[in-house]
Amino acid sequence: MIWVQLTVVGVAIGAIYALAGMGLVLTYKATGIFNFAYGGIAMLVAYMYWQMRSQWHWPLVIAAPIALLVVGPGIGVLLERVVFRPLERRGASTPEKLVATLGVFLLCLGLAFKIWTGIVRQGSRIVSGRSLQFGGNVRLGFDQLFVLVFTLVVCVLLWMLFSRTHIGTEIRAVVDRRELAELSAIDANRVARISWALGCGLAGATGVLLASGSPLDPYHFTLLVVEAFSVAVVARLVSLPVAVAAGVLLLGVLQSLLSRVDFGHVPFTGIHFSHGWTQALNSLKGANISAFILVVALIVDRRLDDVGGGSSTTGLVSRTMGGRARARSRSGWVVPALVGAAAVLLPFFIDTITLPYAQITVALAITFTSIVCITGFAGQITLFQAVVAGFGAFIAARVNISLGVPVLVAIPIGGLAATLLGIATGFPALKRRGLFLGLTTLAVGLFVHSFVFDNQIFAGGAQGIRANRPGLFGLSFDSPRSFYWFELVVAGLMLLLARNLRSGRLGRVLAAMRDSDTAARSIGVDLRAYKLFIFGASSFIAGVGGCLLAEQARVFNAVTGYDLFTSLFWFVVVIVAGVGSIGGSTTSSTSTGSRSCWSRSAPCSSGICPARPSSAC
Amino acid sequence: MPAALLEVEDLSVAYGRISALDGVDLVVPDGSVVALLGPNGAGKSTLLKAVAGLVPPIAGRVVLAGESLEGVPAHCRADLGVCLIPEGRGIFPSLTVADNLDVALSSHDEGMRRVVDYFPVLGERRAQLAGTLSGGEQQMLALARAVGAQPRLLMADELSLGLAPLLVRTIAETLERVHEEESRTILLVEQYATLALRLADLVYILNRGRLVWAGEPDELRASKVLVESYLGG
Ligand SMILES: Nc1ncnc2c1ncn2[C@@H]1O[C@H](COP(=O)(O)OP(=O)(O)OP(=O)(O)O)[C@@H](O)[C@H]1O
Ligand SMILES: [Mg+2]
Repeated sequence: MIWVQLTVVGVAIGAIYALAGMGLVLTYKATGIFNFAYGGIAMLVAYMYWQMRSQWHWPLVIAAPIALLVVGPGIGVLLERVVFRPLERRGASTPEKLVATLGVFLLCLGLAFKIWTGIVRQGSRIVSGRSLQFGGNVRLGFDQLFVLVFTLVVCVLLWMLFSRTHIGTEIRAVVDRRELAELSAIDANRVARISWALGCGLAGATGVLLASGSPLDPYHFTLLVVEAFSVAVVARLVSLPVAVAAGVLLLGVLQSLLSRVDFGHVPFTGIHFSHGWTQALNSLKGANISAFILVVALIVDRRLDDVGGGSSTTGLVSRTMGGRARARSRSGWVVPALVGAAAVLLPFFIDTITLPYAQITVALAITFTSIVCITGFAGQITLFQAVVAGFGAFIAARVNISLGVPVLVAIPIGGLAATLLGIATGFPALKRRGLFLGLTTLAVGLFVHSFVFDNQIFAGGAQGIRANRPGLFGLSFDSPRSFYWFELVVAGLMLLLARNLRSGRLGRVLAAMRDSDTAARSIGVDLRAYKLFIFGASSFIAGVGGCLLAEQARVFNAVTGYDLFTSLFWFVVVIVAGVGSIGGSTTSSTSTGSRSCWSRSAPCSSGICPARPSSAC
Repeated sequence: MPAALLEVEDLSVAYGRISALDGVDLVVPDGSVVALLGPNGAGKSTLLKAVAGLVPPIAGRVVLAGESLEGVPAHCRADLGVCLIPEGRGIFPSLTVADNLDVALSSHDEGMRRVVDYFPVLGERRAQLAGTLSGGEQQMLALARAVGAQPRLLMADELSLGLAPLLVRTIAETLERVHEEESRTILLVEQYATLALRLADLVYILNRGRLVWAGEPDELRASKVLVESYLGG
């Protein structure tokens, strides 16, 4: 009977993921854009609903329609008008739109932190919390039943919209070829507005339902919705029914059933193990299963190679790149030399309270350089760079603490571990570009974060692992200034490495790969080897940067950063600053580092700023 | 002389700082076939796009049946009966053939019957994705979409591009039939000058964004200089 109960509960929980997944699929189908801001919009609408119900005490019959029919769709209309229509006009490439949605996402997060702070609230119920009792002890909450019915109704309506109505055909036409649709008497702006309103409306509904009677805080809540990515990917971003099935069965029922499986217990035999490993397994299943599904779906489903994969970063990268290249040749070596000298002398001019921010800046510059290497030089989108950095930091701290390896040796070991992670990710992504490459890296990031970093056994849970600062021949780099200079030396080495990636034949091959896979192949390059190489090299740099970040804070702690939000944030920052050049990474890290300076007291930093400086410097 | 359906007056278009059209005047009489010729980069496609409302002019105006189209967006012009088959393939590759026609024929039931009448091939392939049609079939579909919409002014930009001569003839015949049976007004941009000259009542030649010649096909054929310098012999 317990299994029936679990299945019923699973179906109800899964329904909401199905709804979220459907919204993502719908947005993609109806706008051609994978909306990374989906979770952020869901969160904003959930907060608005909470505000109206719990703060302003509006009645349900007013607040619910406003949240579901006005706020959510309204956000969609607004986004279409101010963000996506101008992009469309400019003929922006897929990665550019992707970055735009990431930007909107960060904006939503920042807005929520600003208005509602990071305090955990109790989301307002939209349906009564009572439950129905079926024979025996199978119970189903009214709210769960509501979600289930709502999801099914929405699924049927959307399906009818797409296959039975003329507006459905118009939507598909606009996504396919916007200009030609206009020539066919379709008002493309109106259609896009409807599409965005629908997509964001669904996001809002997901948010309100997910928050109904549950904790609500910007950070974790948004993460919940990110789990819906796996549903959308399983549906290959096109099939609404598959999205529903995946949400209900995989995320709902499977997770619910797994929660009761005891890995120490061998089925049908009565044998029971109870040593460390089974505990480890049991604690793993608590981690989110969606990460697992996402990884498996992205790795196994070869058909994804074709869907939406034709996009390239060319427009984005070469534009920023062209400008940068010219700027660099003008200034020659003077500017880097000046910046370098200023960096070395900096500790003499600032006090010890500000120095930690300089330390963070240098460490960030290294990790940002890794993004420049892979996205700027080779045109590959990676959305897990902070996780890679964290992995390097984690391994380095582990071998230092557990095996007593000196820190100076542990740092390259961490870098190599990150390299392995990068190559392991690059391998399944060999044939992918654009959106699905980004999603693959995102999946691996989610996976590593929830199965390694969050795990008590591996990464020390909430307390984290101590990250010692290095020393050499009895000389310690522990003091603020000496650690800072040590960082500068490492940064110099990494920049040198990055420079070498760009020069000579290697640089030309990478540039060819950036512009087009086909072009690169046609000049007789085995793309796979180079792709793996650049994944590895960039991950090495990220891993080393991660080690320094952890050592700066003196602790590796998965809770303080190294997660997907940080990854997305870094990616956006680097793109905006100009991904084509190493200078771009330096500039952006400086502004990010100093940003964490003023935002130290603002709770906003907990979500998107990776490293808060340790006061122990 | 029949009334003018389309008048283009002193039209200038620029892409950023590059001027593509410079003070072009052009008239398309109602019920006629007009050919617009010129070398690559002359601005022919730009002119059609400006008429369809896809690119905004920096000066001059476009007048349809006596009414200025200034500020009228592309989709409204299509509603008014201005139909452009753009350069390349004028179809939605990820929609089925039936949906492709559906999009064009939303408000014209009559159109559908005609289309199947003119293009029997498409009837057989209704459920196929348009992107998987052969190049010739795709161009047929593009033409079918345009004819089905029953436009007052049908503009076609290099319909024959990349097609085998046999197919070019089929397309020319279809255009001719559309013109004769439905007395549609047609503005053609063509590289196949012979085809264009056979259909056209009136010919304009553009070069580097300026109108360099206007007249009847026979005059053009007679002028060696013109043929050599603009039509490549
Ligand atoms: N989107 C654009 N941005 C910038 N310049 C453009 C754009 N479209 C066209 N041009 C320029 O405008 C000029 C006219 O182009 P247009 O496409 O109208 O020529 P065309 O006569 O159709 O040539 P073709 O016979 O090769 O199709 C060309 O010099 C072209 O480079
Ligand atoms: Mg042209």
